[in-house]
Amino acid sequence: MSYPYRLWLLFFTFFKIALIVIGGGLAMLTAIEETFSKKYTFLKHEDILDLVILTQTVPGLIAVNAALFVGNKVAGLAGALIAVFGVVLPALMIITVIASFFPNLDFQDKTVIHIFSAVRACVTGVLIATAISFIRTNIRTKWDIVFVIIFTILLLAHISPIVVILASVPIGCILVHRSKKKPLTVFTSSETAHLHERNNHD
Amino acid sequence: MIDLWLFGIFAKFSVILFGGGYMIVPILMQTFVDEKHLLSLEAFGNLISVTQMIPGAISLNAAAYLGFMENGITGALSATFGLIIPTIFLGLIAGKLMDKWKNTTIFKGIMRGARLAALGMVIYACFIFMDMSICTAPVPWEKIGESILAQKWLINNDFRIRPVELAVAVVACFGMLKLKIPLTMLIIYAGICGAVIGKLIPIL
Repeated sequence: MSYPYRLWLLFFTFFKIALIVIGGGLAMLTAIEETFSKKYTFLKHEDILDLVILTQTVPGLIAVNAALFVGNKVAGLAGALIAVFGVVLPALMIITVIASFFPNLDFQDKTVIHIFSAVRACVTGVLIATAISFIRTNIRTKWDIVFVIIFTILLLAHISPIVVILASVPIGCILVHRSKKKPLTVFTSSETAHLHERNNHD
Repeated sequence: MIDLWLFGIFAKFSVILFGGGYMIVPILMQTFVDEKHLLSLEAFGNLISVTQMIPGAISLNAAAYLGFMENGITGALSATFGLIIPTIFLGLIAGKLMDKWKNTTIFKGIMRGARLAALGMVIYACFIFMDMSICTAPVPWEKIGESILAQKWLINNDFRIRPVELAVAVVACFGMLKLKIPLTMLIIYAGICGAVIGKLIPIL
């Protein structure tokens, strides 16, 4: 496949993905696999796995990181940059259109007020749902709970979130370090004793 | 000059955004509502709601929107590239170092700490949004503190809970958790409900 066509494919595919794919990381990875691994064999299966890990660990937007990785594999540095451009362009275009309309929306109109009030309430509910599912998947030790509460109180006291994030780095390192020395103490030792016995028999 | 400022500030945000998703909400709130007074808390809430209806990451859409509000198209471009460019550098570097890095304590520690901080931010974002939707005024933390210390029961007349908004929030939360309704649909339903209720209230 010729180089210019590869660049075009990258741009167009990521443009489409940014426009259509809703549902975040996993849906996007599926779409990427469809085009770049199944339809055209630019990416091998190991590459897809690397991509999954990459999107979980590198800070920043998943879409941009994915575009960088795939673009680089397909067509080098230029490919990476043009893929990122394709991913970002739809948002810019749509926002420009919407933001031009917004000042024209009459915010004194009762219906508009009610619509937006309901939408804000909906987002509140969604945030609470996000928090709950986050808690389910991330809180394991009692120290997790302690530090989350401390961070939340700091934020409510109008401490800059940047400070909180920077503070979380050493705290996280200490927690990981301590958890290496002894196993996670979620169960009491009597509950784990029978597990040790079974392992010894195998 | 504004463009340069936009670029710089979104670049700053870009470097620390580990948890993804809603993590940018408190950061933007404190910068653009509390410090710069660019928009009111309610308008900020509307902005975030709109960015969720549009395909694309919240941070991307929010950057483009806020950049556009500040300084038109050049502002939107500056803010967006401010968000993207550090990610590009970090992404290219991390791609090369990832294998050596993956198992170090420092890396795992950063991830662990970032997840806890992200959870704190999401909970904080819940309160931010509660203040502008369910409650009629920001939760009076100072008054609560005072009333506990002074052993008095203070009733703040400005602070009430709006029942309709509370119902919408509870239903939305349930819809997302149990029924797995996608976000865009939830927002559209909420908008329809809002319009319908708006029409009904004068009749009731």
